[in-house]
Amino acid sequence: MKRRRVLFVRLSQLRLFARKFLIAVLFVSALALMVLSKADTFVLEKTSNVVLQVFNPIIRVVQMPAQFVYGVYERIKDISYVYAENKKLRKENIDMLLLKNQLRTLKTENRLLARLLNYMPPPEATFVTAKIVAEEGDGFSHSLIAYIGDTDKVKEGQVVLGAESVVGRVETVAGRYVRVLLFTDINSKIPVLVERSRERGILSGDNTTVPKLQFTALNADIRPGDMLVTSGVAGVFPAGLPVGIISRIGEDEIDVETITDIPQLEYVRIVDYGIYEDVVKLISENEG
Amino acid sequence: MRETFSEILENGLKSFLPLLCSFFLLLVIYVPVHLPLSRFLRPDVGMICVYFWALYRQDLFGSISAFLLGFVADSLSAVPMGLNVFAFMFVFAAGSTASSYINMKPFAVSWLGFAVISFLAFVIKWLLISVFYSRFLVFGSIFVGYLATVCFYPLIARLNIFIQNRYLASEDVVYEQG
Repeated sequence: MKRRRVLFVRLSQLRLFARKFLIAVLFVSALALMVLSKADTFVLEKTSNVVLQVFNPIIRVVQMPAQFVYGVYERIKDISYVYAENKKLRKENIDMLLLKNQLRTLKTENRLLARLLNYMPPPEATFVTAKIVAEEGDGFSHSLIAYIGDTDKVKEGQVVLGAESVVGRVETVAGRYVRVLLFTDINSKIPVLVERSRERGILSGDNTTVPKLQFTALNADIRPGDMLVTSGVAGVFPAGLPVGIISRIGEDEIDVETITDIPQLEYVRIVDYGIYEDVVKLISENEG
Repeated sequence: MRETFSEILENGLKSFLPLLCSFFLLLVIYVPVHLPLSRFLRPDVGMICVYFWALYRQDLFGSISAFLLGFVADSLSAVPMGLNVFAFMFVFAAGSTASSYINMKPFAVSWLGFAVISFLAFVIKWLLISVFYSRFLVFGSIFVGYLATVCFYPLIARLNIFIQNRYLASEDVVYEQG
């Protein structure tokens, strides 16, 4: 008897195929997201901002018990250091009073000279203090998320300062939260100069704790211990803000040590010098 | 017998529990802890969760869940969008393939499986981001992140096992660690 060949697809096989197909589609979508991210699309940025706005309040709530434990630890630590700290502060206070008198004299002198030269001073910087609610710093990226509240003064590109120095710039503003791109991130490039010798270079993050000083002259006068300050070139950062200290000069690279202890940061200052917007306006006018 | 509204709600919540827990654990890891080097010893909790659920409960944690978790991880960090999505999808695909070999084996086997799969995932992430920025990233700090992730696996897996056994297990299936 002749056997009939019956072709049929079982439902389970179909389901398995659908699952594999879905995985393949999602893999392709992930790659497409990366390509879109490279192109810096508006839609992707908006979607990412919505996710930030939804999930950051949860991080803030989750943070509360950790903050409490850390607060108790800090208080106990502070008590043990209180005498030494007090002694140090008294000495600093005397130094500060001397500096204050010098500053007053210099300010008066500066005002008089500026008047003689008919110099127009730049507008005073304004700042917003923001609490850090989330941080990340693995080998892939270095950033912080800070809570700014209801203020509308914070804009993309503004300078972010820690207690003593520059820590980065505002990358994204998403409602009450901002993402700060740290200067140790691979995307960060800050034009700097060596305070002592005025040698110029670019401070380039590489997702490690030690950013590198690049594009310096071969015979540049740079020594370990030299302070790096922003040069003001490119218009994002105003000139003269401390960034880091040269820690090692190798054959191929110059290591820079950060001044602010970023893991210890609880608050940051987001400063508006009004420079970045002016530069963006100027560029768009020139392009137009 | 018809299900009551509360039963429908409970079952619905249960089906989303792995994803919700993964979101929660993912967020916890972003909390600043103000300790030296803490930023570099953060495990990739999302990767651990994706692997765990792909291994044991693919019925409740599918490829779309892995995709969503990756998307949130990408949005919260400053990495290029799609990087974590791709890595999580890889871990999901590898984990679900290895599921039949690893499932019901001793915990050490699943840990070893995770060590191998997550290493490949970290290498893929490293290669993708290097292509994205057109320069190789320092692999040392990425490797430290990988080691932290592998070391934290038992802890995160234990939490997930607790959720599985407490809220999701059918009466005859109980996962054990050890």
